[in-house]
Amino acid sequence: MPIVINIAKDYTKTPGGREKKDGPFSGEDFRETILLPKFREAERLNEKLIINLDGGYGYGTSFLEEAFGGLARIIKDEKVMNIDIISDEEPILIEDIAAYMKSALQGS
Amino acid sequence: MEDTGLKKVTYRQKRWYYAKSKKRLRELHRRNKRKPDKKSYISNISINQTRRGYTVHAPEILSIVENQEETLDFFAQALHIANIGKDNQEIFFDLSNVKTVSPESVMYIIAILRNVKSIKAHKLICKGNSPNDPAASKVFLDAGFYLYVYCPSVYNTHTNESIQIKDGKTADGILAGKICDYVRDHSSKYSSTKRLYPMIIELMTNTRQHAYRRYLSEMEDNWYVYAENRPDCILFVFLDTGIGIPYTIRKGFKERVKELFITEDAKFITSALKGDFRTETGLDHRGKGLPEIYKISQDEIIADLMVISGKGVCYVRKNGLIEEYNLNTSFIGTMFCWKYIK
Repeated sequence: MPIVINIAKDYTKTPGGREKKDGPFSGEDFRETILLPKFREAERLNEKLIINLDGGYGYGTSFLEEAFGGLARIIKDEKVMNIDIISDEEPILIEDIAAYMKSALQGS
Repeated sequence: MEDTGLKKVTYRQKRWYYAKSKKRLRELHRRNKRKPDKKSYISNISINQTRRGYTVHAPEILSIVENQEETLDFFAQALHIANIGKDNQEIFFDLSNVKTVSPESVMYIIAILRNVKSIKAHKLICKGNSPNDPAASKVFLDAGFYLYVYCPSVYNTHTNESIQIKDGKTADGILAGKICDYVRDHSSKYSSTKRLYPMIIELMTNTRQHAYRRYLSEMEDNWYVYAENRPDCILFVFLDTGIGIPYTIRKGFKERVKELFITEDAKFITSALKGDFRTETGLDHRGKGLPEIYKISQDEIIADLMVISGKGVCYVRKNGLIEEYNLNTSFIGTMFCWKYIK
């Protein structure tokens, strides 16, 4: 069974900035507390990881880049691109996140 | 307590040692390099000195949007006095002649009163009066000015027609969420706040990440945000009192040399908005905040985005064109004003 993270339900409806020092519910905090552990768990169980972005107020670029781009910079492997992103409310975010991860992989 | 033989240094001695130290001299040298022509930073200074301190007179039209030069001169005077004032002197803000005032000017007065470091360091006493014009006085009241100053004769009332000036230091998602709820309550477009929320959060994050330098910033780190419901739109103002976009962005060597002779602040703001690689950090994955704000401003729900920082002013038009020009008087900090179309 795939592992699903609904950010609005499992983390916050009001995501913050980039780093922890920027304030609560930052991209860095989300990556460290939820995204990276769930990614490792999905890897260990050989399951799909699905992230649902719907239900919140919105996402700043800094939050998404630090969370997903940061994940790619840590993992340094193409397998991060296997994460499924669902966003019915803002489909453009799916492309943006893929671009952040790709750019992070190319940079690392 | 064991006597170590060391002499206890008083606060005044510590300040003296720090002022004389090599570290401080290096900082001053760096600061003067950044602003070589201090006279151009403060123009048309006329200070009224009284027995107890100084008085600064606000112009009749106190609006950064409508009356830039006079309004910025007024703020520059206040900041200049804050820097030259001696301990326990008084600064009197004479607002009696103000007939027209806009919320961003009210916000900046609050920022001066609360955040200027030298006012706190010299324990300057800030006083003032409210405008004689009832309409102008109402703007101060509605904006929430009296939440930040002590005025026993004014009872602060809050109407549903605005989110009164709020401030903070970090990216506050809960406040941004409340602002989005407010917009939805006053607008027919339900889902459009999805683009507004990131804009507010990015501005807050930028303030935290880039705006302040401990030894260069004249003001303490803080941002201010205000929203006002109008018949056809919701007006937003976001202010940070940092050192400004033109000072914090990356510049090439030639640009650094050129700026000693020519003011190009507006050009730097435009460049940062358009996504030229201007991130201060120099990292590939950074520098996305301002371009994202520029991109969002192209949405049909956002109009008339104005950015003012340092001596640069930029108006972002719907077709993506940015009209830019430079001011005579510098604006300390960065201000974003925009309209959310209902």
